[in-house]
Amino acid sequence: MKVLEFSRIQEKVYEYEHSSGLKAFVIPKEGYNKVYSTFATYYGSINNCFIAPGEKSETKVPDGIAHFLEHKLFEQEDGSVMDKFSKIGAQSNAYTSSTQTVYLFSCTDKFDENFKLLLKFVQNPYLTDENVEKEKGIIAQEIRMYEDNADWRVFFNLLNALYVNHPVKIDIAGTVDSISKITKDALHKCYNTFYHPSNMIIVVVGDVEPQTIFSMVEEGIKATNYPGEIRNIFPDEPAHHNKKLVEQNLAVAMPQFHMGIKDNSTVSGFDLIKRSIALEILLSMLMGRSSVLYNELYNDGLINQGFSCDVSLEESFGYTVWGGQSKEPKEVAKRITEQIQIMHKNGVDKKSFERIKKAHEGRFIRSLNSPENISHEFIPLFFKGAYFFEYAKVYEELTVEDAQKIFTDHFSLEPSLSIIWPMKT
Amino acid sequence: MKNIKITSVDKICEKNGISFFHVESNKFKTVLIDIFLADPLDKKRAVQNALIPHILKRGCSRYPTQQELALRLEELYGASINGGVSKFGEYQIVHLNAGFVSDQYTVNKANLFEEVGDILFEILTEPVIKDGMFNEDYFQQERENLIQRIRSRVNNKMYYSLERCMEEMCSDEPFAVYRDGDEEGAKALTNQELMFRYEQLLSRSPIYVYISGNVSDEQIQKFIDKFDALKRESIISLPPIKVKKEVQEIRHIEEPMDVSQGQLCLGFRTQIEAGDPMYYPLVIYNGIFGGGVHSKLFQNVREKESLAYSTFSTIEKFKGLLVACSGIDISQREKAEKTITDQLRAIENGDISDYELEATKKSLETGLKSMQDSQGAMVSFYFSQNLSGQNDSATNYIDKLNAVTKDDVVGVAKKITQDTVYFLTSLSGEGERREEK
Repeated sequence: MKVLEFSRIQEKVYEYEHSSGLKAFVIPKEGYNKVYSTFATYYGSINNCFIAPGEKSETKVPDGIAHFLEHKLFEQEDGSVMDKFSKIGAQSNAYTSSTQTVYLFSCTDKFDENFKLLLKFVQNPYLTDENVEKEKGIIAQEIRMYEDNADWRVFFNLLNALYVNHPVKIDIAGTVDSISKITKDALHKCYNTFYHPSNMIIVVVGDVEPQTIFSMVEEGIKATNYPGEIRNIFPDEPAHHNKKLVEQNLAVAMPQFHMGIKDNSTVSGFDLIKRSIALEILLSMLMGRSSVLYNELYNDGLINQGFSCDVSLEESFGYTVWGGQSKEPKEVAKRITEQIQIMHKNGVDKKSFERIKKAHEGRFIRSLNSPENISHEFIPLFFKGAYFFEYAKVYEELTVEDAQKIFTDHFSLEPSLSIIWPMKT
Repeated sequence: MKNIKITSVDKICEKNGISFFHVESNKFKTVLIDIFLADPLDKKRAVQNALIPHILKRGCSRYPTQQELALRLEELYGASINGGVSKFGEYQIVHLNAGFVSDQYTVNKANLFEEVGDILFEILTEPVIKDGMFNEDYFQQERENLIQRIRSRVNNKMYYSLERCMEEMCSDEPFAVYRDGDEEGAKALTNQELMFRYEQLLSRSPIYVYISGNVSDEQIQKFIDKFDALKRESIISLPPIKVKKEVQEIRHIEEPMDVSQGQLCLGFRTQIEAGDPMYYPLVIYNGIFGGGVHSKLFQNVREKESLAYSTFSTIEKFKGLLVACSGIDISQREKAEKTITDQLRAIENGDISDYELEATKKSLETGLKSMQDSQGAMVSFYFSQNLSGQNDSATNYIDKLNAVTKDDVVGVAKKITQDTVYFLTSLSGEGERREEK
């Protein structure tokens, strides 16, 4: 067992490695009633083509299969796992992103029982032809729900504008058509490839004893040997964007827009969080609440309070994205693109950089109240080789010169634009 | 697991119709200040109240533009100031809020509570005014934003349908007013009327102030004393909300929109007020009917019949309404409606398993205990309790829920009457796909 301390933010991480290669973490939260536990695999919607350990040929699977598998794991031979959690007062759930699948529960009582159940069900898939077929109807409604969701559509349309080939552009749940092709065998193949303990981690956040948790992990995880490397195959992605503009009409009151730039860097570990924080600060400097541009756009009635920015950096893809609602999204896009050019000319201002860095550090500290948030941030970062709490170190070390370099590199591409227009009446 | 800790909310004092509370806990890294101003829900006033927090957020005498304010908040470790309105039954609540890191996490142990508290108080009491009116640009811009916000309610189809169903149920009652008011009202509103409403709100509304986090008594007292500067007149009393209403016949409302999924909402009158002892069995009833994965709706509409991904029921506590919502394939409407009403009949007939009852109680208990781990959730809970006059502590509330029996739930079921069926459907009345441009 190893302990990492982050004194600036008064957080600790206890880490333990199981003989199978699985890593487990405990993040203590003194005085908290709730314990939030997650069991995650580094497997998401983008892993649709791979060479399984010990094999020579590629396996190609239908889009949406990682998410489908997430749904199916909740069904066990003796009934629904969710029911078992509810019976002992826990709330269970799961989510699938482009790069990971996470199973979780939160409880205020009977932790041991719940935790054993989490370990057990994730390690024991129960798939039959019938239960696979039945799930297709439920997931089809989930897909339909997202089709009507303008926030979701405007974002995925942007990913389509950014990426020519990379599977991140494909909806996480797939399409009604692609999921119809999912079979029991394909699900087993994905499970056996990506749910080996060496590709998974466990994170527990709450007022718990780390040693107790690790003993349960020791007992509850099947001791199997490392099967070898999973080779994920991603198509070649050109450096340029796929499209400048993607437009769609939906039943919304006001146009919605997203803009973004793809990040062609290949960083991981500490460098990845450094780049990610630098990009977040740069976005705030360009178009955050205190920027000249935001205030001009706001005062001209071109954006509203809903306008926001985000950064996502993964090992095989990355992007910055920003957007909201606007009467004239194309005018907003033009002005933002101009502002990026102005920053290219004037450079990154040190004083604003330091002030905004301090604000971002404060928001990071504020986010540490929430066990859910800590887990949600911790898991993907660990898969990418970094610890979430190292953010604190980045805020100490990151200089305006670092930010300048990252700005020049990332913002060399012109942003693409995705617009959802209201239906024509 | 260690012993459960329940944070108490202490009422510090009440003067001039302003109540101050401290939610004291050292486990959080943040401090929150929440200010609530309450007003009876009224069509004309709703739109005015809805605009006020957004104009206030634009600036105050020391920081007269939102850019200057944003710059200052960034220096204060990214403190945030937010505001808006919400609807609790037939009360409308204007809300201003500040959140920031506890002083111990600042580099030189800054006094953020005093700094941010001062700004929040100035936002509330010293808006940017010229010739006795709000800055005209701010007024115009925020009124336009408000109109857009009202129109944008359609964006989230599930919440839109749920709220529309409840509005239709109460079409001739104050409850029918949307929390942000209506577009026509917004268009007709003048700066002068708004200033008058703002002054009324400050001088006559009941005000509730919640301070959460690690703040000393002296700091809090200093903040409370600032409110002495408010000119308070006779404080309005919030009228009781009429909950009991007989249903003559079930109304059917269909709203066509360009959607690919239908939203089916069944609205019911429970005839149970928040202060009624039957309120606790009603909460359990809702849990069994559609409050979580163990519920009848989830188990039958979703798991058994594969009709929906999202299916749940919810209570509007202040108005005694119950609504069951499901996102369904448009062609499955009849089957879905029947499956939902079958669940209702089942509860009425006492067909409630031990599992359903126990899982409901446990899930509510877990929720209430987990609430103690979020400052925002505690403030929402205690404020709502205060407003409804229930004043249960979390522990008290858990005990009352755990005491509910199956018979109590059946007793509730017999009081519940269906009122309205609302269906958000596609323009053609069939499932359809749109093409990208």
